[in-house]
Amino acid sequence: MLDLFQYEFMQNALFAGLMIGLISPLVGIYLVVKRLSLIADALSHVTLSGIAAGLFIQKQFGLAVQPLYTGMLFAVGGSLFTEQIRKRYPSYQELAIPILLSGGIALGVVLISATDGFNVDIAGYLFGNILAVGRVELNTIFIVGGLVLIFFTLFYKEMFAVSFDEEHAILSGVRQRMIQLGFSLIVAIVIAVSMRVVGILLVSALMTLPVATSLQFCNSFKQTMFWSIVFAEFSVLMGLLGAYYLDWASGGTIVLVAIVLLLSGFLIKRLRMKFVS
Amino acid sequence: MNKKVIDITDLNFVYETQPVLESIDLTVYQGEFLALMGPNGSGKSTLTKLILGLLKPQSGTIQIFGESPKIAQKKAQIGYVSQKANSFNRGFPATVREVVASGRYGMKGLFRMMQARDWQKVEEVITKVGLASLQDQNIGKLSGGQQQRAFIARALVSDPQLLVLDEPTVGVDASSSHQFYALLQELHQKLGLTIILVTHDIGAITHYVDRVVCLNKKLHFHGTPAEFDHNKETIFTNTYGHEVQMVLHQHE
Repeated sequence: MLDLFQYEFMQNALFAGLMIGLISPLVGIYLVVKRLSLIADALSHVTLSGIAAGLFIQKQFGLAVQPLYTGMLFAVGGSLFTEQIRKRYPSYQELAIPILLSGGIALGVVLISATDGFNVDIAGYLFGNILAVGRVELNTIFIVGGLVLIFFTLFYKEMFAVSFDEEHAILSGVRQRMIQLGFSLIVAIVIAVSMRVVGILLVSALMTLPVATSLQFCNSFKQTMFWSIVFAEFSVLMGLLGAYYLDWASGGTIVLVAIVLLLSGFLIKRLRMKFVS
Repeated sequence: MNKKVIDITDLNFVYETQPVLESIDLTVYQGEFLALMGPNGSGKSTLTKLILGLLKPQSGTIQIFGESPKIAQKKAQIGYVSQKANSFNRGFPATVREVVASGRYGMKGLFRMMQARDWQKVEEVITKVGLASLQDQNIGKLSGGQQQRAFIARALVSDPQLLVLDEPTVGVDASSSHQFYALLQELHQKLGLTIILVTHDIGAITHYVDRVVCLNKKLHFHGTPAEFDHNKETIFTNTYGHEVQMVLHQHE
């Protein structure tokens, strides 16, 4: 089986997948515990409009813009917008979600129709095509991945304190604003780089499903983090194999495997309870 | 006399046009265990926020350890247990130890890892509040009373000299509340910790504290628990108004 990784595109796919499988649940765990899972969805739709903008610029002006970068730029913009909404409507924090979801799709669809209409490229972004990850993209994924790992290592304490009890964190001297802003940017760029692997429409699943599975049996935060990564990596590897051997869409396969893991968790828990009683 | 921990003189606080606190004078000395009582809307929470440096008074001064509350807060001299502490996300994946340790994160500052010495302190306060056997348990699976102890430990882990508790026993059953007050009394006696307990729980705490302060916009009473018991009726009429006094009579 190992000789399938002699192809360069398979190596790219493997490394990209492993990195995404590591950083997605890391971001996801904080989104889940802060009850912000849907933010990931909203930002992924904004990323779509960014991708569409990139393709549009490519065609209209003939500039060699990487859609990945425009996608990332839009995601960061969306993330900053979310922060603004949160400040303006402190008691309606979720308002940013429908605005970004529909706004992102609307702009995306308009730009896509003004470019080439829906084609294979667009489908790859929507549903993920891990086998199509190129060198440039792989490099970007590794740079972003490195940044994300550095962020979560340096600010582990602060991220934990802010996620568990924001009020207390601020009172005990944690620099909450700075951390919050940094985290928003991290979420945005992780979503943008994940979309080649899992697809825009499915990015949030890789962030949240492995965490949901771990929450069923983990007591501590560190343990939850560890198992979320294990489940995410397993799902990504299965998705890669599915894409190579069966020609399935990698994003869909990854998410389906993650759902199977989640359901197995329920089942094991139930069986165990029966067994004990 | 001992060192002054809190020194408030002629403090006024107005919220929009509504006066919330009027000419408050209050001094708390090191090692005192003080109960701050008053009905809902009496300005207790506002006074607490002023002590914590979250609000600024319109006039008058407030000093904590001879400095502004903000500075005291920065030096982690104040440990705080909020009323809302108990409404945390119960599904949060964190052990008692992880939560308690987070109380030390602010004072550690950015880019500094927890050292063996920090973990030793975490261990020590967990033992002190009697949760040693539960430290690897998920915090959400503890009883209300045990969770309160964990939050006390989180406040203590940064080695504060002043502990402020804002209605810590809301939603905790009566017997756990008494155990909780007893724990505070023990911490107060063993560690010489200065404690301010904010509560609307009338009278239940007078056995545990050194001094009682009754607040309703102004300070209506300020004295020892014995003096408080002696003048209960007048104090209640002044602080809570007539209605509460009637309820109180029914209880007796």
